[in-house]
Amino acid sequence: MIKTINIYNQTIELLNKLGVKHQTHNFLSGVIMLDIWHNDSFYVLQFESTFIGFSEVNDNNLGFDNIPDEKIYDAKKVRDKLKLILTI
Amino acid sequence: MTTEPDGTMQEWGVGGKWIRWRTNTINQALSTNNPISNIDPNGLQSESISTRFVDPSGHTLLNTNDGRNDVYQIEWKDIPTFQLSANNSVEGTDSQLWNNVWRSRGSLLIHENVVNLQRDERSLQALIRTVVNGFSNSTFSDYLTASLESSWNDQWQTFPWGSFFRGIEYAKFLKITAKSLLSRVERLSLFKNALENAPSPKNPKEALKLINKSLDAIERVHARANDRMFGILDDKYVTYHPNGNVTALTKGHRIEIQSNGTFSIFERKTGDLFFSK
Repeated sequence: MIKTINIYNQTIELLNKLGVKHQTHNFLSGVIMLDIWHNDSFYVLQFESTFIGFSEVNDNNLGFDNIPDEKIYDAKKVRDKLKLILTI
Repeated sequence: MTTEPDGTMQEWGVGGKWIRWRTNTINQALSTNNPISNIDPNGLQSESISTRFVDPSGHTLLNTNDGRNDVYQIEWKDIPTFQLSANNSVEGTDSQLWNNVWRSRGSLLIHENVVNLQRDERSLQALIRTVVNGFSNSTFSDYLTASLESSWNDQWQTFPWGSFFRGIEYAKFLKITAKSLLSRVERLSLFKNALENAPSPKNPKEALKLINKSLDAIERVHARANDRMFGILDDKYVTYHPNGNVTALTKGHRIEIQSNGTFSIFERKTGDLFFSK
């Protein structure tokens, strides 16, 4: 099973290292929402118990809900996705 | 063009004289047993059970007391004959025979099951305009506003969400065309309009209900199934503060609700205020 909290910690470490603007929102339910601003884009990562949600919020995708654009269940795919959006 | 009863020429669809003629005619009908009856040109009556015949612009031509409550549309080319038939009907325009003839010549615009869901004449008029205009953005917005406002005249506890949404389901039944499918930006604009016209909620629970129900009413009609926004489905992304305030996050928005029900919605990407009430 994917350990989303570990991936969250690794993501924060990476964002700090790269100096990428971000903000964490913690909830009593245990989920974490992570906002990332990068190259005029705004990404929202949702760390839930069984998956990590990836969304890009833009003029065509104004999300008034919490259904992620993509649900990822595999740690490697999460890292690949992060590298892609951060263009590492 | 056609000739009005006073001998003047009148283009069909141009409201003024036609409405005046109908107004005069109802006065005649009441006093001289003219078959034209129960005409409601000013849209102030809707209590009786009556089939309503409208022109292609949605203006009422005639209401008939035939025990049905449907709205039927008569084509422009048929209106002179319709008028003649109504004036000269032997059996009367309230008869099932006369109504069946014109039901078959016209087209069903709104079934009585949906007409009966409308809470007042204003809502029905707005719905008629919405349907004849092919569910255009502006007319649907008017209908939504009229429906919500008429319902919000009641107490929150008696808000007929079920009836309202059955009306919306009818819109889906009418095979909504691509024209009525809107982008997220357009839908959020309608959403904002609905919120503006709603009465102010009195606590966070009412505010969340208002936000979710208003969004849902729009999304049911104007969103593709794979592009719907669902609002705040549960408490997973909601924070209840000790002072009674509530903060809820969606992917794109932050909703700050005060304990007295006032609320603000911000765009999370920019921090800009989206809406405040």
